[in-house]
Amino acid sequence: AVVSTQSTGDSDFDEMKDRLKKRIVVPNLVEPEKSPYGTPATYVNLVADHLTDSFDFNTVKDGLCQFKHFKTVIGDINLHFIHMVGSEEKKNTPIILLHGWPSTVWEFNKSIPLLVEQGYTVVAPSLPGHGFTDPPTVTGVSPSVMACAYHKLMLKLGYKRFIIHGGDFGAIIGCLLTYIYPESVIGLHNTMNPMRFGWRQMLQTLVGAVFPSLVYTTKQEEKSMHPLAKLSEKSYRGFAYVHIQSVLPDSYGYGMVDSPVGLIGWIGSTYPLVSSARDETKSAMENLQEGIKNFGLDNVCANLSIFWCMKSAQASMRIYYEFYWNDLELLSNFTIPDVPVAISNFPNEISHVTQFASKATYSNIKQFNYHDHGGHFSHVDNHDGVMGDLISFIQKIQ
Amino acid sequence: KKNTPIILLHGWPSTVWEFNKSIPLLVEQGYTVVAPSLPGHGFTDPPTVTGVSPSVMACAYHKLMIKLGYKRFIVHGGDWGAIIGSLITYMYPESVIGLHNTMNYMNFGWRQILQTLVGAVFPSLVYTSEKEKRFMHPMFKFGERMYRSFAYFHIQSVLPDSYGYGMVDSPVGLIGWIGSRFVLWSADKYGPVPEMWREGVRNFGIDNICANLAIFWVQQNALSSMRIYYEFYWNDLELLRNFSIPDVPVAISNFPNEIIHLTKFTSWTTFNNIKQYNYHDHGGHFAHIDNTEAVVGDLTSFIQKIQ
Repeated sequence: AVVSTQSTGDSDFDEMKDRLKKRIVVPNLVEPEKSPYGTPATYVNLVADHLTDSFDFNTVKDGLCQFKHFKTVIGDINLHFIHMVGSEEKKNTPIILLHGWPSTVWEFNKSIPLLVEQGYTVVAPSLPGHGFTDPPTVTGVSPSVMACAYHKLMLKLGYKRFIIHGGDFGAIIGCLLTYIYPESVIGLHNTMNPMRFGWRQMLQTLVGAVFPSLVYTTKQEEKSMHPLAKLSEKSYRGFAYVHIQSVLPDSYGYGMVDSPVGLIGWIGSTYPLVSSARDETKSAMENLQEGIKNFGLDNVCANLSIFWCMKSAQASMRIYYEFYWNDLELLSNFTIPDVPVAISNFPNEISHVTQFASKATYSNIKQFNYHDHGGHFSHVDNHDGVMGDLISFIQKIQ
Repeated sequence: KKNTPIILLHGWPSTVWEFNKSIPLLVEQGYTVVAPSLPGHGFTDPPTVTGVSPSVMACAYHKLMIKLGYKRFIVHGGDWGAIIGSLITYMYPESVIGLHNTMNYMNFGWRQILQTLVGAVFPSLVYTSEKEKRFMHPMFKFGERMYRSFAYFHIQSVLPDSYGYGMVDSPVGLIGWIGSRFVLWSADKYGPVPEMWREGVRNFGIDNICANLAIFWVQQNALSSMRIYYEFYWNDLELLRNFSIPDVPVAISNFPNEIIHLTKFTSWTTFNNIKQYNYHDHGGHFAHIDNTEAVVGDLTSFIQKIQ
């Protein structure tokens, strides 16, 4: 089915602005911008004010309307996707772009036109609970289930073999798709490398603890595992959100659907956080300001508007639950055999895995590039880097 | 009863409403009662500075009692109140006549480890109640249980504010998290899930849930209430893992629906002078609500025992 994005957006967005004008935010700390407790009230108010005073919701509608949108039912999911048909000569390498949490297809609003311009056929689905795919009404829809759903989508569209590109859960789902249906995948390109704890990672961590320059290529790779003494604190801090979202995704989420500041406080904080260097010597607001510069306040507001209108923030977090209780074993053990793989490494990414350690997951790494800027959402803050890598990878393996 | 003033310490996410039946009962019996509000809960505003951890609150509460003219007093607490009460007793043993806790918090000393290993094979040898046994046994389910139970502790000790803005700005945000704690911590967590919610509401009382929520809503402090987990983890964890209370008499009250169950054997790691260790057949984390007679009974009998 063909859908239009013009529908209820305006009234929902206006309602959000009304609620923001009446918001209750209690910034009680003497120095709120230095808050160690998570998102500072300063940030929440900054985004709230931008949404009420400056942000133009039409940019979201116009930005999305340049694409063709569809929905199809696969299993229990009414899957939304963008589908742009390319030229005849690039027919053999259709690309599926997979976003993660808490992103939406807005992440690809610059990348899709670039790929289409070059003649590629592009499919970009919305992950259930994110953007325009409603959350499932049944439990059990884990990343491996989504991998099968996305595979089915491509087959339905007539694409028997395709290129997969993904980040965050998109990278994980892309890996699973490649593992389960290697015959369908021409090549896999990830921007986030999921960490594995096999012998390679262990060996490298031990050697790297004493001779870091021997095993780590970049400063970020080294900092992610070295010094060992700080590793446990870094993991405790870094995985807290994974822990709660894999156990009680709904409990903290009601306020994110009913309150715009609830949405900004958590979902809204993730975009700048993962687009900055997260320097521990800087204050919370300093890191967030850097992230805002890289990701763009309007992009933050665009994603938040979509989450607000679709009322799916709470349900978006359930993928962590389904992942943990259904797919963890699988993800800890699988290896992708022959399919060519490319990894793009960006300095502000949240996970850094060396090429050596990556061989635990991928047997055929054809491309492993490092870039000097960009973070978890490189489609937004190093667009040329990630697109360049994808296109050169496709050309390499054709 | 002038010589045994009592300080009642509530925890998260409670308020002094928790003691609305207990205080009259104690006053009726002639006791002097002091019940402070934990910062960020009820009527004490959250601190405007960072660093206000449970050990800092222990000093603050001690100072409160001294200010009121009570040089020696009985400490009673649950949840953070139990931890803060234990810290007061550890730091100012000369001020504490006796310590009565309703929640026994975990320690991982040799006693706990030994007991867990023996109890994995011979549970009836080490566990006194069914709930004590199910808390640690069978071992292979323990990891999953801990992963599930400590998730909230983990996030609140790292990012207490990030998930909290919706709890101050939206009543359903408040109900969804804070409101759910009163229910879940008053029910049998080992039974079927839908029944657990119904049982929790029955035991705690929907009006009591709403009373606490009303206070949190009006005071707008749900978000800052969670910060105590952060301050505890990064300031007091070492201390709490290592201290033990020497001579001060201690009493523990064990309720079946409490969230943590420790045996008396393990409790000796923290408390060297356990004068009373009672089990009750009903009641949960908020025993003052769902088994008032038992918890107040334990407290008054303990006070009489040690006078």
